[in-house]
Amino acid sequence: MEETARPAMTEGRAQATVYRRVTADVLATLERPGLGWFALMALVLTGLAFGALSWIYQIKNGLGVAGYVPPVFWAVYITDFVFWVGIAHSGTLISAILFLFRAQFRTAVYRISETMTVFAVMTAGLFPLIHLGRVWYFYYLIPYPNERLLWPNFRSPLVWDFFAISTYFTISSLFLYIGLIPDIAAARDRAIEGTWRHRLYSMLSLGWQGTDRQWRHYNRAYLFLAGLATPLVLSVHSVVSWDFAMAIVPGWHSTIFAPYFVAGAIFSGVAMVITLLVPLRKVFHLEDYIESYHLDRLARLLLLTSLIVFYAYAVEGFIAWYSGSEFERAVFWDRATGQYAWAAWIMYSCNCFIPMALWSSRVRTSWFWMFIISIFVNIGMWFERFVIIIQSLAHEFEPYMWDYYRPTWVEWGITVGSFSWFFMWFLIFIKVMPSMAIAELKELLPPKLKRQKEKLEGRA
Amino acid sequence: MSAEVLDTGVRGAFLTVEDTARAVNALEEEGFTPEDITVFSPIPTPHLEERLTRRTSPVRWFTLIGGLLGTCTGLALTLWTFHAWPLQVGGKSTSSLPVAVVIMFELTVLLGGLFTLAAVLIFSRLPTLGRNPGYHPRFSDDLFGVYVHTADDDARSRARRVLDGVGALEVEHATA
Repeated sequence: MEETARPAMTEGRAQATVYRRVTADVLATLERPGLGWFALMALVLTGLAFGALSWIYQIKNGLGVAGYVPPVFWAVYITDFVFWVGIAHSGTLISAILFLFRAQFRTAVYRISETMTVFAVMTAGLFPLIHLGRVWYFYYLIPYPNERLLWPNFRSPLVWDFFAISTYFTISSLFLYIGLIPDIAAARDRAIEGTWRHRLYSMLSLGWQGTDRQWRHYNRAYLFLAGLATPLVLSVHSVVSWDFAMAIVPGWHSTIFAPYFVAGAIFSGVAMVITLLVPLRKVFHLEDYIESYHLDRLARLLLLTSLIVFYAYAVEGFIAWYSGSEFERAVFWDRATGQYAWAAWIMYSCNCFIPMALWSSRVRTSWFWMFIISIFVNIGMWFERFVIIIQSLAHEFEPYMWDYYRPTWVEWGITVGSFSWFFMWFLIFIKVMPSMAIAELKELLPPKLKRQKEKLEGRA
Repeated sequence: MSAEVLDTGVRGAFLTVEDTARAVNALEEEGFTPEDITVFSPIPTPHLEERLTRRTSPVRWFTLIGGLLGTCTGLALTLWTFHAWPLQVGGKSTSSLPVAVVIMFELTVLLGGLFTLAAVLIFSRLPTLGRNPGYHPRFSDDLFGVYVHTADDDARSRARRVLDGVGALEVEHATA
């Protein structure tokens, strides 16, 4: 039988059809979770329980249960802290900096990255508390005058860090929330009245109706927040790097630390975005929204930052040799050949050598290989912080002080717990809030939807 | 309650921004002012928004004031604490400005961001419990809307005629 061609739609009707599809597809991710989600949730809750029990054990028995050996008193907890702050970076890079640069590929992926940012900072924020022997005195971290009107010493990079991290958490949460408002309103309008979802979305959408007045102020606010967040992205990890660089420990005391840390943070953050994006796309059938084009762009960012990190490692080594400082030379020689060489070579392999596969466009557009590479980069960047912190401390100035630190089960437990805490929030978020920006996807239709619209119009 | 007190008017639904813009033009030609017209849209429509308001959003002043306030707070906080407990180390100045810069920067961004949030909420009149009578749930999905706020019967029928004339999908009377 001869197939009758469907009559072409007008441009407006085709657009409305595609708009409806975008809303429906994104809101479909909020449907009742399946077995897989519950299985993952059970897994992360088990990990979280392990982490919580480890922490309770540490609180009860004191910091001695961590594997600290003098002079290594900053160890896995600080490694975890820097790792999670680093993960948080690419979220705001993708949402704010790429917004200012009008990079269109960000539209499909920025909500996931912003969410990742907020949850990663929430995870990082736990470590200054976990690192405290007496966690009930946590409020000493907050800059306030004590009973003798003695303020914290603003010359200490740890106080800068408090300001940097809390500002970063506030601004990235604001940025995420403001971006979500129109999408929450779309979810509210589609939720069944009287359900908890309808009540939640009505409250969080603040009564948004997408009027010209609301959009006008919203757009300006979004632009300014992006403008404020841009230098913040670069500053936060610089400040974290000064926690180390301001000290005179060989291996830490270096002016290259700020750009080196920022590049490393973006590198690890982009890798985590890919790690999250690959399964999410598959599970929610978002293939029409997140295409290999998006993956390729993220992979290029990963390659660029990998090269910067590679360069930083090389410069660090060169300066250690060229400066003529015996201590610096000793630390870098020990890094490559000493007791922590295994960790350093994991770091070099995962961060410098494996990402070189990204020069191939076939690898850059392969979901499987990109997922594998992103996992290696995550591991490599965790080890980078491990090496910087622990190896440098374990090999300070005086040979009689040198020692070998091994993490204990308590530290591993808390590390597993931190990953579980992060993934728990992420799993909750993807079932409660739209994981992609509905309004922006409609504004800048992804290539496949653009083609669908043209087809409906009879133009393709 | 008298009919005049009710927020009432005429709502037209459109498929595209261009149709919506044509409707706004035609309504203005008919004598309606931007204050009478509200446009609803599922996506930002910068040209229409500018056309209806004709001035730049004042949010920027809030961002600027918040930012400057943050800078000054950062400077004041650090310098004041240095002087409140002057600690001479190695003959260096007790007021280290480079240190203050970090705190000043962070507070600039923090207060700038918080003031921006406050501004967008104040100027957009959010949060609100009330719903504009012209709003329809499809305006957050696939359609654009134009609502002409008028209690006058004659104006309503003129608005209805104009909206029909520019090809609205649907025109109806809307009341709060």
